[in-house]
Amino acid sequence: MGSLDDDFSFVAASVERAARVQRAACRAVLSDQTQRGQSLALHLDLAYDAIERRVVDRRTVYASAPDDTVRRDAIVELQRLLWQVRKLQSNLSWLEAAQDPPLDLGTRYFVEDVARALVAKDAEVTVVATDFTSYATSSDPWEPLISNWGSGLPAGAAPVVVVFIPRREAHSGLLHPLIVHELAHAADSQHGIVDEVWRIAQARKRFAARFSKAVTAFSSAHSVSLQDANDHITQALRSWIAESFCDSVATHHLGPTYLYSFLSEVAPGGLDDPGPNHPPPRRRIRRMLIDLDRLGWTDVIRNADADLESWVRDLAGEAIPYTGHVEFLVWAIDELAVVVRKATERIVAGRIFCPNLDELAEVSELLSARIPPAQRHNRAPVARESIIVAAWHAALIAAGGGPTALATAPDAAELAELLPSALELGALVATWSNP
Amino acid sequence: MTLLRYEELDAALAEPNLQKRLVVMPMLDPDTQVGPASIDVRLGTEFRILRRTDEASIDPSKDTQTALETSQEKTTVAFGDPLWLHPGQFVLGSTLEFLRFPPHLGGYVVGRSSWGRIGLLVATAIMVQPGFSGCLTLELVNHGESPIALYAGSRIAQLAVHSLNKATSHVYQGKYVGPTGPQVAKLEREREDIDELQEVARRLAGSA
Repeated sequence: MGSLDDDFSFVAASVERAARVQRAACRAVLSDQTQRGQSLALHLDLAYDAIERRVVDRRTVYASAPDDTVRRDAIVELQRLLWQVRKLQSNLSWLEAAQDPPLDLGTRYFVEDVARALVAKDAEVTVVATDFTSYATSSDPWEPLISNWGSGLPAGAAPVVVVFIPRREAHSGLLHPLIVHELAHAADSQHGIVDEVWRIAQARKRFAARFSKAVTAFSSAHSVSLQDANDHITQALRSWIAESFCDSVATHHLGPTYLYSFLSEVAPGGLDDPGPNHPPPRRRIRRMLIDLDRLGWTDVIRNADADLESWVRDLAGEAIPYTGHVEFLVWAIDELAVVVRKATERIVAGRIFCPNLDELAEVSELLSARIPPAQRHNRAPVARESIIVAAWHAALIAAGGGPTALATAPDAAELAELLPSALELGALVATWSNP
Repeated sequence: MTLLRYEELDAALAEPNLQKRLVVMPMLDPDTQVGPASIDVRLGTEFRILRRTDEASIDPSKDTQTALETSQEKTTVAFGDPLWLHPGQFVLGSTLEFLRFPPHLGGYVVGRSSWGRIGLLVATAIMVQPGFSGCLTLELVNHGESPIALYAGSRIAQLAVHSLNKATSHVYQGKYVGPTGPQVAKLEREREDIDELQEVARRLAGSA
């Protein structure tokens, strides 16, 4: 009995110490309101509050435990909690990234602006350069912890978005449009888009019938219960809907820029493998082209690089047959495309990006003269989306055009300084002109 | 060579042909920036701050460009945040504006008097050659006795623009082409000159 008490006390003190040591970094940020990452630090601080509350709660449970079995369980739970807390240490690098952002100032302004438009006016976005192989995101990462064990996020707390970019691409400005896709995940979390699309889907008889059939087939093909089959397909479809929504948002927000970035980053890795969370890239590219054509980008893409455009349309048009539940998922994504598009139009609203040919021509001329195109000759601000499109086109031309240029365009030396500079000045001009 | 007055500056900035245009990108507030015979330019967001190194001195005849680069730390200051310049401290900044001078115009950049009166020296290498393109590097020194807060976007210097009698066919193609921020000195390229001078010195001393 005495030994268990010591064990419990020892582990509990270790958890509290780990939380205290790691919390110091949050407190340092919170104590100086001029530091960036205030919301991030606040959320993380609340997470440590929640952990400390959990330890207090476990002390109560331990003190009133009826037998040693319950006491031992309480110790094991605290040991697991200790590892959870220690894992939170990796979040300290997020605080460091907020202080010393990996992105240039121009891209930062753009990303923050998009986050405010898509997620919430007070959304705080932190971009972290990581060892992840590709781009990823996390919205209000500690919300479950804070809600389950703590006092919950305060009403009106600013949403926190953490975007992860591969360290290797920290200076690849032409690939950063992929961050808009990641911000759309945060918009989904904030506005419940996937829930909304899912509800609409389930209310459709044709969808419900095909869903039910797919569940039954999956259950028998994989020898799992109908419930497990249902859960598996539901989870996969919800993830695919989320990806479709995020692609749609990025395409509506950025025009062909997102297509180019996606092709450059994702397509070389294979086009037809359906992932547990992602539709096959070929299907996603096809959907992007449909959206771009609807938005009026067809001629702009063709005129920029006819060989590339022809190649992309050929690969997007190729029909790859799928079987089993994947066939259902692929069908469902097409079936729900209009619903997803309408949700996108609502979220992107006034920032849907359609081609402005005069502006694009002027921006291209300035880029050719190696002048950062932040302002038009009539002193109107240049849309930053136009800057990125024109920069992509200039980079494709510089890289020789065609599909291979997609791989090398992000390294265009002449744009390495011009693009960040144009985005930075463009942010200033836009804000100055529109106080 | 004539100093351009307001109307001529306005015309040079509005020139439809990009090749002949005086480019000031961006021009945030022409009403306040374009004066009777000058254009106010703003402070950019990027700075190069000297760091303490174990190098004893700077010697253009010996030091490599890498040594010079590593002796200065690049810092970016967001709009609204201050960069504190302490008494005696020297940093490189640049104009916020990206400038491009056509072949028939040259210019000078000088600090604005309001800053000078609190001890801030803004620029020493003030000549802008015809054909120059880029952000102008500013050599910022606090000669006063109190720290000075520098804010990106402040109107810190003014640009006087001169027309040449005739456009030059020999436009600027020097060491600092197209920079979008402050440029570290490229003293290494002075080495050929110094080598030649030293050779001349040896001959004068009769040791060659």
